[in-house]
Amino acid sequence: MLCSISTNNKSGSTWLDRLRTSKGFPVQTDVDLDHFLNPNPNLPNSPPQQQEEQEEDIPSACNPVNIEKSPKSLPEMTTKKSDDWFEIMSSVLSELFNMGDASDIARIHALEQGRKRSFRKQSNPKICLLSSSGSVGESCLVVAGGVPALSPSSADNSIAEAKRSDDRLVPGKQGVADSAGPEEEISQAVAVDLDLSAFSRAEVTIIDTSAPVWKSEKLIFRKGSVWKIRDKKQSHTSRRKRKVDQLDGRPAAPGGEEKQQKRSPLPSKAGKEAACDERLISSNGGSTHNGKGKASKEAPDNLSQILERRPQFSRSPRKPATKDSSVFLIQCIPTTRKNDTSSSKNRLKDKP
Amino acid sequence: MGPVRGSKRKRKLEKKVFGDGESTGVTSEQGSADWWDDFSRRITGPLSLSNGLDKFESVFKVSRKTFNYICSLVKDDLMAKSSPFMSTNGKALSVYDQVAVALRRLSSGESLVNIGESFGMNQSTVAHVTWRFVEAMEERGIHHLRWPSTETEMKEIKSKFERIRGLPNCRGAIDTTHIMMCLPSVDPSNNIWFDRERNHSMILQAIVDPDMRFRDIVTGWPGSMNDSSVLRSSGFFKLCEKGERLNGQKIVLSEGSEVREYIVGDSGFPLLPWLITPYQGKDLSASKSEFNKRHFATRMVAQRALARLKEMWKIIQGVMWRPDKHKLPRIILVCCLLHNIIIDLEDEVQDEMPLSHQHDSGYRQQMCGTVDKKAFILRDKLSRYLSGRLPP
Repeated sequence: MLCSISTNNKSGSTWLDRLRTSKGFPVQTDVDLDHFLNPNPNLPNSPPQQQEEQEEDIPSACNPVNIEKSPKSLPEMTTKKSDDWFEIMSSVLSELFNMGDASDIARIHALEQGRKRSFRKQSNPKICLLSSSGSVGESCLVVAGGVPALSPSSADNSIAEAKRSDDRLVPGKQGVADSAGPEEEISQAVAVDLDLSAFSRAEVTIIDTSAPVWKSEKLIFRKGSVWKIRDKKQSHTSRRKRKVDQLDGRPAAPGGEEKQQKRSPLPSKAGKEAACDERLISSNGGSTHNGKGKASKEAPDNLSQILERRPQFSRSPRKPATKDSSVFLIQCIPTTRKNDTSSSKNRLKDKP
Repeated sequence: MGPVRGSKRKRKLEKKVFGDGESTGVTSEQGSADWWDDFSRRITGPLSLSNGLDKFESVFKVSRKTFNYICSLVKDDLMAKSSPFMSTNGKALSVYDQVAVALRRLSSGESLVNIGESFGMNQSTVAHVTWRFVEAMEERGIHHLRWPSTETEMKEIKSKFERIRGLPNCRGAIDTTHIMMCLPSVDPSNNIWFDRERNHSMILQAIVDPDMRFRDIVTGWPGSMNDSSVLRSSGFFKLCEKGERLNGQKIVLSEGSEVREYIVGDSGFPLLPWLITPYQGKDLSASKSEFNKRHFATRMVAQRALARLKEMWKIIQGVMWRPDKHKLPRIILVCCLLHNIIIDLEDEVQDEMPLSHQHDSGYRQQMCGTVDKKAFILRDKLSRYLSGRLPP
């Protein structure tokens, strides 16, 4: 609403004409302006000239991909003063928060961070306009709800968003097909409500002696009578087990590997949500099988995400991203393991 | 160095406990008797003053025979650790000690502090020993909980069920119970565990044979899930729907009237071709109410089994104080395994247990309205057969 008012006041006929032309509306008539705006109330409100100016700045200042590709620009910028500092920081931030996708949590986190970053950018009109430099639809998304932009210009974020909605839609459809009896309510609701953030979430360990793997970890999402169940990936158990053994000082026993394989694995906490597979209570065994396949497929992505993330945090803002990246990769492996170990250690400490 | 010294000591102790019996061919029962003489003297606190101290079964809820069998199951796993668990006086704990501590913890449900004081060890040692025992048991004892596979076994189960109240071709009785927990209600993430009776709980669904042996269990689901949903999410449900379970021989009740294999459950479960629930509603016909009576008596084994499970393994009976929700299902599984081992070994302690069927006091009967047409016909057929109205 704010946008529509300001648009009426500020924007000249040129902008309107161009917009109308792009949307296939006749240029001259202005009778249906409100009607035209209503379905898209969040139109960009910036003057076109300014927009053009800033579009020139986009590649160097804000596009994280470009920054990663041309780290030379960073030292140059450090010679300038506060303005440049801001740009460095914004580029670092954009690198930090442009971290691909995987788990819901990671995505939500990224979005939250993105929001913060956008807030900082909003103080600088250049960067703000970057986000509205795309299509009309995209800019609508940006200003929606009066929140200062969700940084849709970040290609990764938008992909993540699209992927997420895909993820949600597919099981919803499945659920409707699979549903029977009392689960009808469950699956329908799932199909309608795609926002997992509204669900209360719990991680559970399920023991089912008739299941192919009789011990498994699952993620449960619940909202009222609506239930969603996701399988959690199960590949880290043997590693965790080994770690526990190491903690105990127990040497790897001969045939220990065999034993660990026999044992149905209980995955450790870290980074597991990324590869979980969604399914409904009423879905059949086939979906579980699919889930496993999907989980194993996603595992490398998950790992690479962790590997990518660490160097960026540990790097000083002035250092170019490409430098010594392999060193960081090596360094970050024990870090994650350490976390993992400590978590399992803590869990061991819990009273049984 | 502590651990090295400890391990030496442990090896000595182990030799004393196991070596003699094994090398000389003396039964391990004798070894455990020696161990018990020593162990019972080490018990302090209120437990040592209790009347039944001299009675092994009163402390551990199992006979020595069963105790020895359990020790033999987990021996390798418990002793695989290079740095042994120590008591407060610096002695390494033998396998018997560890099994004793774990069984006491699971059977009494007493706090770690109490058990630690009674047995002269740190409470964290009690926790670690118990957890190690749980891990070992779920691996070594899992064969005690399985769906019957041999023809002889199946026939025996069916005939035993039929002997209860005449239900033919019945393979099991299903029931659900709640393991209650005390969780901080300020934490909204705990809401999922909040069940319809306003308790935080975890669900245990069990299918039981006529000897009250658990044949299939599902546990770990939060208490807010209803019985029907837990069933539908189970591997058992999927196998049955695919026709891979309860797909054995049909029996002919009369000419052209066959009955497939099925299990029985209460009204909280859906009526399915392989799961027969009682008739619902008032003013039932004589044959239907007769069927319900027989049905109730047959599925009573499941209720009794769950009641005995909780009665015997008190750690899951009361309200657990903020348990680790990932560990609890595994503890429940091990309690079920121990329950089955007692039955499998024909331990006489089970004869002394009262036959109660109250396992979920305070929980109202759930009602599931789902009815399968085929199942409806099957139930009518059984009802007519049991009331003698089926034409020969």
